[in-house]
Amino acid sequence: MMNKPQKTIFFIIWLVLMVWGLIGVFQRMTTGELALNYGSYIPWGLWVAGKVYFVGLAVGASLLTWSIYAFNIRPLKPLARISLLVSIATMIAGLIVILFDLGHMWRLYEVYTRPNFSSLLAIASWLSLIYLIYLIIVLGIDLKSGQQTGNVPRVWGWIGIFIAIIFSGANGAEFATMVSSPYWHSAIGPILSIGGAMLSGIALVLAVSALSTTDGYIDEQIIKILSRIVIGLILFVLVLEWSEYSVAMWYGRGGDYTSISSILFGHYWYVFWIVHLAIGSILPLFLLLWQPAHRLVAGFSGVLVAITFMAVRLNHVIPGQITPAMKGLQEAYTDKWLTFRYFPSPTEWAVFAFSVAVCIALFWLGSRILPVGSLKSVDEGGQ
Amino acid sequence: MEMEKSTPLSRSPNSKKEDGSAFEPVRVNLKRRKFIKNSLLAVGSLGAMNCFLERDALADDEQKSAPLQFPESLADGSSLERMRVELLQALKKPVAERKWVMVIDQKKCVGCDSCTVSCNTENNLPPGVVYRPVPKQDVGTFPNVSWIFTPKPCMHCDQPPCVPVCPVNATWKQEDGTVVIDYDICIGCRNCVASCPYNSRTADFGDFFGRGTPEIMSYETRPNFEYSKDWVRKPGTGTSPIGNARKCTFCLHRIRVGMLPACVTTCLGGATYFGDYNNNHSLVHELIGTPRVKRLKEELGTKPSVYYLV
Repeated sequence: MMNKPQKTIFFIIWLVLMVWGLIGVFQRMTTGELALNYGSYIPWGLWVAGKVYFVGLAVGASLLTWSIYAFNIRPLKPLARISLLVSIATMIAGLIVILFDLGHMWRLYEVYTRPNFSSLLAIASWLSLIYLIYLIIVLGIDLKSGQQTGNVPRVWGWIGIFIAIIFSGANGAEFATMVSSPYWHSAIGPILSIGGAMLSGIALVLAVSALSTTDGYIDEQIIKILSRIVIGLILFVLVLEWSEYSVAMWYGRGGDYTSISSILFGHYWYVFWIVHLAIGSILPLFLLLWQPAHRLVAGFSGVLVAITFMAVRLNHVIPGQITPAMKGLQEAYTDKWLTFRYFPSPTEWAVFAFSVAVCIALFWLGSRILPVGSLKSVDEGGQ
Repeated sequence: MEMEKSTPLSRSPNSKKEDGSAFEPVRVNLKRRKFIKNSLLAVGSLGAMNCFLERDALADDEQKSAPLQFPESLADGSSLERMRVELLQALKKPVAERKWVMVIDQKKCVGCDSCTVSCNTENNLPPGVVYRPVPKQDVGTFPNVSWIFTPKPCMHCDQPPCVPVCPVNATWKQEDGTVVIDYDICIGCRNCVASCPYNSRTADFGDFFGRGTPEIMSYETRPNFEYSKDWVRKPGTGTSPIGNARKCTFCLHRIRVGMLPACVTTCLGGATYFGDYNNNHSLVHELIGTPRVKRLKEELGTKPSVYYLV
């Protein structure tokens, strides 16, 4: 649990994110899409990656709760409400960031009034709304069930698992079904989406539960179990990535070779090697193996995994678009919007920061108002 | 959006009727001109080649090569008129019985970009939006080097990857083979842009060439006539087509009034052909039946309506 100076520092960081984010939102609302760096050849940038990231966090965190309900995992029951709250907060952040990505954001309702259900984007949009409503309903049921969390009929857990897997799979399939990009067009895409969601979401729950509660509520045993789950998931995701990357790189041929070699050896090589692999996978792996039950070490490891997983989402969304449909296209007609290079603009970063700040605020408010067993109970003596 | 509203067709200045017979008088005129040109060519060729060749060989060569010389350029002129007449004929048929296709002869394309320019002008395209770029690839190594020009409009695929991905049914394939967008429905998610394997869709981000200058010139705020409607882009409004995905329409607004797409009429090399594939006697049907024909990325199964003669 944080002491007062730590809380102050955390609040200042949040305030900076929120103010910076509000400036970005103001720019987006007043200048439209002019201050953005994505374009016609790389039409999806930071915000789409951000949506995938937040939705992954939401699915992963809630899958923990669904498993607790469905399999009646008693030792982890204190995590049920916290995970649901994390899931709701991240889900809303994902919806916010993707809203700003739309060319006509006020027409968002059309996805619900005139959907095309052959479109995986439409399916994912519907599922995101259904999932958010389901999360809120189940949290309500859990809260009504009494002081002890996790006392929800198993069926809610099974339904949750079912929707979560379809939802996360649809998010992965949204890219994997596109023939335009050999890198995206991969059968492993939906699996990696679900695996990545579980890793990032449960790592976030580990971070939140380890750093924002005390032994009075979440004990070391729970931290240890979560640490082991995260270790297993890190290895699982690394195996999936190895499978995906090594197939393309082994002989150095094939349609997805360009995209994957740009991830590994391109301009932004450090996003994979340093941010994702070193800081987001190997370091937390060692830390969790070394001190799986240590609150600070485990919490810090969870933070590393959860935050740096954004690098995986960026490395999935952007490199799939960097290969021109044909040689010479980039030089055929040039302007700011017709390029195959991309780095997010300050406005894009700011709006992303806004969604992060909203996410934190929602979680903080939720944990203050609702008896989820996190910050409030800690402040009141760890009950 | 009403895509197939019947509109009065413009008459050809040379035609007396609107039916297929209008083509005949044109052909007669051209034959006469062709005869005169051929005669002049033959006389000129005889004089020049007499210096190098024996009389017998010359007679043979002349007979073989004569149709391949100046008549080529004449054929270009007539093909434009022929396509226009065939277009008028196609418009008289029910929509479902036509299928618009484009054929691009890469040997004739000189890479002048006039099709890109005319397309931009016709559709008043802003920065970031291009319907018909011409990628240029150099092939070979010195001294044996050359260029390949591949004008790249929307392929109007028979199995378009961009259509099923639209979450709001804002884009679809019409009965005449064209793939269209309803700007009033499109939410600007750019899913279709990302899904096009030809990079043929672009997005309108609301930019203007005059942005950052003291004044945005009036030509940028004039309407374009895509889908036979006036679309006015005004700075700062964010109204469609700003915020939308955009793409080549095969100039549907011109087709409806009997005009060929802008890129066809302005092609300097006469490399771009357009017409109704369902007309077995049309020029495009003839060209697609030649062994030089190919389509881009056929392995994807998208079945483009744009064919290339390589």
